[in-house]
Amino acid sequence: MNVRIAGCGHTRFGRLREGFLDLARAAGREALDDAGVQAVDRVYVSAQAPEAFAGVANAAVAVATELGLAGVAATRVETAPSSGLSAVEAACHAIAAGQAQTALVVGAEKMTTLPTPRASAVLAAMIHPSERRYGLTMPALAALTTRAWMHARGLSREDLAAAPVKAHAHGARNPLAQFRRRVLVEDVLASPLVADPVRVLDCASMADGAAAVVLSARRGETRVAGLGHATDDLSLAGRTDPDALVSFRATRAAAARCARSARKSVRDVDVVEMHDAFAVLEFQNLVDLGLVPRSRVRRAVLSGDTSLGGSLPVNPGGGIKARGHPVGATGVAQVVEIHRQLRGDAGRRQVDGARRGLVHNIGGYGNNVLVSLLEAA
Amino acid sequence: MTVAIGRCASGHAFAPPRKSCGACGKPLRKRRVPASGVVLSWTRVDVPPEGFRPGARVAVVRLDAGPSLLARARRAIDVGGRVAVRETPEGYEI
Repeated sequence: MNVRIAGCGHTRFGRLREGFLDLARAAGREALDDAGVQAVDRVYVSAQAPEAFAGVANAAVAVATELGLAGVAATRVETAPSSGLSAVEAACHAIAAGQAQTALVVGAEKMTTLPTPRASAVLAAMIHPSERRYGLTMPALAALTTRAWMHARGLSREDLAAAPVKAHAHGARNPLAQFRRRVLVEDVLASPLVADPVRVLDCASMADGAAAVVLSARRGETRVAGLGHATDDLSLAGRTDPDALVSFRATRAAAARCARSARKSVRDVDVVEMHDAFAVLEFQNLVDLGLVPRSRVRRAVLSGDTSLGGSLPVNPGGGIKARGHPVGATGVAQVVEIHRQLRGDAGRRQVDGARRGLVHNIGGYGNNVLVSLLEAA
Repeated sequence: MTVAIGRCASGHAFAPPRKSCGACGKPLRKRRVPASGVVLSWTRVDVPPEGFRPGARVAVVRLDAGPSLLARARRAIDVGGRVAVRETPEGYEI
C-alpha cells in the first residue's frame, strides 16, 4: 500500500475545558501545519458517540468547517473504539484507489461532560442487547475475560497489575497523557472494584481529546505498509470460537490480514501500540497478535520485555490506559505515537532506532479490530 | 428443565435464539435443550451503568447442549460449577 503519513497532531488527553470541536480543530490544525499543507482532498472524522457525549451530529462537516475546509468531501467513520484506525483505513483506501492525493483524519471525543453512570450507559450501547440487559458495562465484559484468564491461563491478580503499572510509568514520560503519575502494584490492588476482579486502576478512564494525521500518496516520513480489519459476533457469549473468553478471533484475523497486505510478518517490529483498555488485554493482545507465545506471555510482561528499554516496547506513550481513551481519538492517537517513534520524535519515550511499528485498535469488546503495520519511509 | 436456543444447519448455536446465524447467515431453527451447563466465568458489577443497581452477579454459562449464554446469578458461584439455567422475563437466571 503506497500511503504515507505526512504530518500529525495530538491535543492533551484528560478532563479538559475545550469542547469537541475545539479539540478536533486543534489536532487537525496541528497535523496540517506539521504536514505543511493548507488543504486536503478528503476529510475523515472518527468519533464514537459525539451526539450523546457532546451534542454534536454531522461531525464530519462540522470539523471540516472548523478547519476552513468547507467544500472538501468529509465523512464520519464509526466502529466503536476502533473508529480511529477505521478512519485511517478509509483514508488509505481513498488514496490507494486514486480518489485522493491527500486526506486529513481527525479523531476526537468529549466524554467527561457526562456523569460516569450516564457515560457508561452511552458506551454500553455498543454491547449486544441480549447482554446489555443484565447491566453490563465494558469493564464488566473485561471482568468476564479477566477471570477466564486467571482460571484457565494461570494469571494471578498481582500479575495482571503489572500492565497498568507499566502503562503509568510510560505515561509519566508523555506530556500529553491523561495520567502522568506512577502507580505501584499495591495501588492497583487497593483501588476500588469496578467489576470483580477488575479494579479502577485496571481500566482506561473517560477522557477528552483529539488526534489527527495527514495521509499522502506522495510524501511523508512514515509509510502505512499494511492494514487488516476483522469483526466477530457483537455478543461475547455468541462467539463460536471456543476460546472466546481468552482470545479475540477478530484480533487474530486482523493481524493475519495485515500481514497479507504488507506481504511480511507483523512480528518483526520494534515498537507496538496496542489496545490496553483493560489490564488483561496487554497479555491477551500479545498472544493474539502473535508477538509472544502464550506460554511466555506472563514472563514477558512481568520481566519488563514490553517496557521501554525492553526487547519489545509496548505502548511507550502510556497506551490507552495512561495516555487516556477519548474513544474516537484513540486509534488516530496510536498512529500518531508510532509515527513519532518512527521519525525519532518521541522525546523521553523514544524507542531507539525504531523503524517498524504495529498498531492494534479494538472496537466493542473485541468485535471490530484493526491492525496496521507502519514503517519509516 | 429446558431452555430455548437457535441452531443453524452448520451447527452454530445461540442463546437466546436469534433470527439468523451471526456466523454464516443461515436461518436458525428454534429448539429446546436441557438447561444444564457449566460456569465459564462470572463478575459482579459494582459500578453499573445508569438504570441498574450495583452488585449484580452475571455469569457466562456454557450449556451442555452447546451454546454459551449470559445469566444473572442470584447467589455466589464458582468457575467450573454445574448450574441449571432458568428463563425469566428479565433474561436468564441461575
